[in-house]
Amino acid sequence: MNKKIRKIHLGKKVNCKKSCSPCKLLSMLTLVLIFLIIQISTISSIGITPGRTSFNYEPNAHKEVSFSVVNTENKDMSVVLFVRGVLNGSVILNRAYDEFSSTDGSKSFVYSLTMPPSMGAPGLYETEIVALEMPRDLQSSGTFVGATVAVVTQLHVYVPYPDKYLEGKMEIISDDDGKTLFFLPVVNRGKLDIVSARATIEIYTALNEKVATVETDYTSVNSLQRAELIGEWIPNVHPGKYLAIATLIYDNEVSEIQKEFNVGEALIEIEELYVNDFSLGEIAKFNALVNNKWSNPIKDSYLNILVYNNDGQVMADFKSPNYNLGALSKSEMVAYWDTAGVHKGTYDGKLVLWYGVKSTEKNIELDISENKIGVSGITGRVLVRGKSEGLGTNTLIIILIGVLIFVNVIWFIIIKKFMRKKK
Amino acid sequence: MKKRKIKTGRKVLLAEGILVMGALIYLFVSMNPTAISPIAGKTIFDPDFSFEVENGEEVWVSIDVVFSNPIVLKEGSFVDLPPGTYYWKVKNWLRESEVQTFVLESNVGLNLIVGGEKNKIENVGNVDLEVTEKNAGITSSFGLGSGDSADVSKDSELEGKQNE
Repeated sequence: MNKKIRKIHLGKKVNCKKSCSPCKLLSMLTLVLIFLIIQISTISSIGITPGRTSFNYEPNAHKEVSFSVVNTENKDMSVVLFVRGVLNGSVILNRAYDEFSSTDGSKSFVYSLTMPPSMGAPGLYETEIVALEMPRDLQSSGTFVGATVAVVTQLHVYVPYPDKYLEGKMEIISDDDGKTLFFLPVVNRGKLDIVSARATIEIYTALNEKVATVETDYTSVNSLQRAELIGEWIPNVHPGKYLAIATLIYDNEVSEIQKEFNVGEALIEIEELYVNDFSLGEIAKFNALVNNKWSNPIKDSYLNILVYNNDGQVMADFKSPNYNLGALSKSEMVAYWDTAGVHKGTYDGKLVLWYGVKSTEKNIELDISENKIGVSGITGRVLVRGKSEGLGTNTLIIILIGVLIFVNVIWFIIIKKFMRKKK
Repeated sequence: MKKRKIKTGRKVLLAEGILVMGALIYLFVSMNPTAISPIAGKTIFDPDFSFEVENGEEVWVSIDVVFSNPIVLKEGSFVDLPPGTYYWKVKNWLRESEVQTFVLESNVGLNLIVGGEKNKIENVGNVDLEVTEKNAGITSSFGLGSGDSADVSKDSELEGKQNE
């Protein structure tokens, strides 16, 4: 569609005034394009925060909980709210329907919870408050048919265990220096205090090989209270996906938490790009050697090569098929370009390697002759151009002070020598 | 004559001393690292937010006020923080700012993009979700990490809730 519109402009260089026929055609095409875009990208969206609220059970306790429904895409919509789950008879919503306009970023709601006088076995009792997105005119139209999206804010009520019961989860955070922190927020869901709790975290590769063991400190956790166990790891392994298995050890009891995490980022490098057995006007076969430095296989990776003419316009845009790249290995990818109509010369180009939502880009230069395509820029020197920052005020002051101190020292030395001589 | 020269010398020295002291005081005040945003006590719902600082080289983030296991961030750093309460401060080579706190609240968010042969569902919140899909009487569920997307059937009823 874009190409068609472009041709009208480029072919005739029309000076667009009120009702010239190319303009009409252009307007119609634009309308069709807009219609198609609307058809393709209709979005239903909704958010809710917080995702969860937790309480420990207390007979007949009354709680008020506020939450917000978020109009993520800032559009007109209706929201229907309802409660379900074990305690749905004990939860009352302040309103079950609301309308959002495009200017409403979010709206607050409140539900009240009155805990029953008694509850069953110890453990978790789940209730859910569901917010369902509907079209804005729902009340007038009455019905709606089509895809729907709903989000849930959970209400968790815990009835304490009579003994010691440590519940935890694991969060894994990596910083720029590669340091990985294992955060284990733990809650004692039991009625007895825990004197000593710690965790041992074992880290495994995708091939189930243990690469490290991390120990956390010891901590005590009083009944129904929360604590944090923290382990720190400086990875000395290939970038990739790893599995952390944390064993929680508390007063002779043991429980386990598992979580997958990444070390570094998926990285593929293009090491070589060459064309063999080429004749101008025929199909050129581009072979690329790519190195997967990620310690897991990467699926559906492909090459995209763009060639620009002397005016900087894209004169060729071709892709390779999709490839599955093995972990920590080099693979060859092939892309074909039909060079019919292409003249000899030097052309700028761009080589893009796509893997998942990520990509690696390299600017290349193609030197096309009768029976050869030379590619440069793949292993060439990388030139970083940037605006150099000028000296800041503070830096200038520091330099000035330094100079003053230096001058004064010299001055003192000279004066002292002069005075001694005089004496 | 000699006395006058010495007096003039002392005056110059005094003026220079005052200038240097003034400059040092100015430096000390102007190079004070400041934590601007998120402001103290702020609750953040957005999955993406940035730290705004002044005169800082590093941002230190921690789950405890004594920064026993800090996460050290520099300009341009990215980090995935799970929901919770955090303490943060700004440091430069000379000084550090006051400690601020913010709360990262869990946010469950779904976007459904309608079009093509299948619809696409995106997790636009800051927590991993369990998504339930109901279509033609069949109910299935799948996990959807923060920032991830998945293909779903046309006219499905979709529901997302915090996973863990």
